[in-house]
Amino acid sequence: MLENSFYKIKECSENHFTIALLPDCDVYRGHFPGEPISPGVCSIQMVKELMERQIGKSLMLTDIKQARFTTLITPVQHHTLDINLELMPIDGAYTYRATVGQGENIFVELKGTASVVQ
Amino acid sequence: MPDIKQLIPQRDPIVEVDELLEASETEAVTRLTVREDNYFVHSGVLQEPGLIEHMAQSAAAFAGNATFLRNEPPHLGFIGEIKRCCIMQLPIVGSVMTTTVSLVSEIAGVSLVKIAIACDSNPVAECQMKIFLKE
Repeated sequence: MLENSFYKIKECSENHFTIALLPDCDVYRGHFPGEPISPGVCSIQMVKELMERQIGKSLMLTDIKQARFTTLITPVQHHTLDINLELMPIDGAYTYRATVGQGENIFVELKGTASVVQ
Repeated sequence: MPDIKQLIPQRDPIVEVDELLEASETEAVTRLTVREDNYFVHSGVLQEPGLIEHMAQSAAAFAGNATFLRNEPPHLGFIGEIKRCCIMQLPIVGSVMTTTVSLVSEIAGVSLVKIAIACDSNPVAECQMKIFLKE
């Protein structure tokens, strides 16, 4: 849904992705006018899409145990981001832990359980 | 109630609340009809980020109502933390969501709220959110 509009994948390995934020994304017209800030929910959706790509299945984020946003992400300051994923299968679902940041600096941390959508 | 654009700083294409229906000092009720052109509708269904953004903007409308009453424009607000977010279903286009925001605490520009979305009294999603307001 957001791939190639909000972000573009630059590199991917097993548990790690590097993405570029796309500053021309439509969402910045409204979030916020004259002050582009990447919506936290777009980071969540991006993580979901990257997890789906990694496991080759569709997911629903049924249970987000915790999502922490410690640094505001802007397409002006943050051209690229590193996403690390840890997924563990458990009956028809996956528990996950994901981070979005730059190198050692973590901007967003997500933990929860996602169901596999048939 | 004032127009939603007087209560929240978000603008198209990412306005995820249609109106504030009720507001007291500790609780608010908002509404959103899921439309085909919603930024987070995919395959005829409002996706998880749309539900979460709707919850965040419902909290923003609640906070914005208080600032509106003081004749101030809405402050920019950012999600600091989401906890125990359960998503039971993804509403289809045409669904009308009614959402309740309950204020748990508010200290130094940080609000802790509990939010629950229902469609025709069926639960859709709920969570706890910590929101930072920029002065």
